[in-house]
Amino acid sequence: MAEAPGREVAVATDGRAGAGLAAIAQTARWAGIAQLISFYRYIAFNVPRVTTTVGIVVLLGIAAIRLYWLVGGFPLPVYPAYLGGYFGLLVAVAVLAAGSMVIGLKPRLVRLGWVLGSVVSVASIAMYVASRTVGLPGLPRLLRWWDYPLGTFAMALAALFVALHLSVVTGMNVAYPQRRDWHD
Amino acid sequence: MVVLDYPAWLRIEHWVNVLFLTLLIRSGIEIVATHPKLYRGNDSRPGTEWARFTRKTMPTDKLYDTLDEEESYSSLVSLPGHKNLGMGRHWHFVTVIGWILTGIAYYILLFATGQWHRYLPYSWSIFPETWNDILTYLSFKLPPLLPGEPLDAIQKLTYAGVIFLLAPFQILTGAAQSPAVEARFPWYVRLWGGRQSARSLHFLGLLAFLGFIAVHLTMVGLWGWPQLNALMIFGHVGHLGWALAASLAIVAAIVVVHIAATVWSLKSPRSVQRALGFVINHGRLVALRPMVSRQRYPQSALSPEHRVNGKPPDSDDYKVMAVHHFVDWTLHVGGLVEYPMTLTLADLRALGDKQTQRVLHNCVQGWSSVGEWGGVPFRNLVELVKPLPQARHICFLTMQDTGRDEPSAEGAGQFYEVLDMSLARHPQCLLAYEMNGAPLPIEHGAPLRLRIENQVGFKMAKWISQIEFISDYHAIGQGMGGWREDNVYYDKDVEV
Amino acid sequence: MIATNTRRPEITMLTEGQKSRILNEVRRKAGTCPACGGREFIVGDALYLGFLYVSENLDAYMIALTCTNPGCPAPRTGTRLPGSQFL
Repeated sequence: MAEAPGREVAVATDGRAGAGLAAIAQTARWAGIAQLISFYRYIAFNVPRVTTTVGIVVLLGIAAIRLYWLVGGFPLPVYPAYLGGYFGLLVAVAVLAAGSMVIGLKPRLVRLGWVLGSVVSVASIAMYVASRTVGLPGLPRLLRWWDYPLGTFAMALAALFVALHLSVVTGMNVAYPQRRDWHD
Repeated sequence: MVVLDYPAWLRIEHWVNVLFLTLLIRSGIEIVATHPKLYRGNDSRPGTEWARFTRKTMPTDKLYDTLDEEESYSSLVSLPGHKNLGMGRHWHFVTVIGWILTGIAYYILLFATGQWHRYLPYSWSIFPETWNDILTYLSFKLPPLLPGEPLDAIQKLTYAGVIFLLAPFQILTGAAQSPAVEARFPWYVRLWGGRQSARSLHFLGLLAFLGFIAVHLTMVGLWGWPQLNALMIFGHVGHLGWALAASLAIVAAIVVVHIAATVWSLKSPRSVQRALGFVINHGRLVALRPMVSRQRYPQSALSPEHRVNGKPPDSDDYKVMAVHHFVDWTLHVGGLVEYPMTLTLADLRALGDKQTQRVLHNCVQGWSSVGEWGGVPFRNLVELVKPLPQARHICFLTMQDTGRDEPSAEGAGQFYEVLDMSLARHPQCLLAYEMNGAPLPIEHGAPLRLRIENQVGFKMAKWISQIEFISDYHAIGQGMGGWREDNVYYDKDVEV
Repeated sequence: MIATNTRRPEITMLTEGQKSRILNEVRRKAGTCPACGGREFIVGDALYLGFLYVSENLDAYMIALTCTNPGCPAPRTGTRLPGSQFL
């Protein structure tokens, strides 16, 4: 049976500083600090369909927002062509990624779908933050324009997707069509 | 219109709630640690859990029980930590009593003083106002307070949800995990989708409370910690330096209570068991003892794999008896009775018509399974031996030697359990020699086990060899009314 | 009376061949009845111990033996054998 690692903390015991450290180490061990720090390894979920559904909904949400901006919802009357190209590319890749995540023909393709989804998410956050901080060519009016709810929401969705993907990669979650091998 | 200010009772309730809620959370996590797997429905079939909070894996070629699966969590997240379910249960239940009483007082005062308007909206416009608040927060700005109120719209709705929905939800899903409640009202378990669904929902409620606390603290920080604490401590904004100091002092006091509870539990569990058990038992016996089991689960509800707790007697005598179908096993019934006797398995089968019952089994660790038990109603045996008037309890002695047989249990000695006489005549109190239509399996207590369906599973002694009618149990073992009570500090009466 | 169609779930019924292999093994080891010292037995069923008990080998069985001595005070006994020796 696998047990929680209970590491002995070796401390120098010479002098009062040593005794103080030993007391701290003893308290930490008693309080279970080592177990606490590694707590994320104790958490595992077996809800592959829920995980993939949430991932797809979030990813399509990111795509839908860019689509909305593409077809006239952008908060400025005009924007440069490259931005439109970027929005279109993001939507296409997001939809492709979502499709790969759910159709699940081969495990490698499913994993690629999730990776693409994270790429889309990170890119969207990076572009949004860049537009507000260092500025994008031809879009000076976006500088420091943080009070834009849809933009904040889009960033939150992107962060959520990356977190979800990380949870799958670290084994905390499984994504469809993976299954847990919990037979005991 | 009532002025929505901060009367003294509201402020006191807030801080009392902080204490109770944090005690509930930490002790609740201790309870989860004892079976850190969450399921749906009524079953706890290994491998079907939707969440796991353990890294242990169990063998497939050896019998394991749920004591092996128990996890040990840090004292920082669980009360008291380090595999102390008995202590965790005591803190959880005594705090539940306090929290419910506080909640009832709060509801009464809210409605009596008109302060309920601070949570329940005056009009439907709260919803568009909430939407606007969401947009404002997403713009990294703070929305306006509602006119004449100390909250904005989304805060008002959130507090209403926590106070009138989430808190009762936790209490109701908690009640659905009491064997007495489930046994008396099987429809109540069905209402939540099953015993394990109720447990999972209760856990999700815990997550909701944790989420609420995180957002609440962030909001208080964003809106002004000293100002808001001044409101919640003094009742008005002012003396901000003192408000900050007072808030830190209160938090420190709550932390001190937590540390004290943890240290007391780890260092002197018997005194915690006695002190808290005294309070809890009175509430338990009044509210739950009257609930008599009347369960009749259908055949289709039977668990494909009924979980096991406790390992069978690891002695050659037992194994030889078992391979001979327990022909040589005898049950000694004695103590304060007119007619002590010794019975074989055949004698027990001859004691009237076999009674079968399909019931939900609740382990103290939180798993459950549905099984069909067949045997002789215990009241038949009681009528046969005729207990003397001074017999108030029944002691069930078993063939299990915990030190020898159960490496995952804390403690050693012969496993025994004590039952009150009042439970002996319950219609579904059974001495079971069959399970699911076949002779009782060894891992489930062959040849004879007790069933008392409004109690938690550990009371239902397995591998019984002797039944003694007694007037007082304090001289047996360590005097707490059972092996688990002696060694793991559970209560003797466990309708919850 | 135990119903004949409700077999104890852990019990394995033995064939005549298996029973005679077991008797040979008992005789070879000069097994005696602990109650009366008798050396003649009837072989009954087998109970697989390997799964139920952590202390037992994976291959361990308890075999039911009944002493044939009519005066034996406790005729029902048993012997532990690895499954590979009789199955």
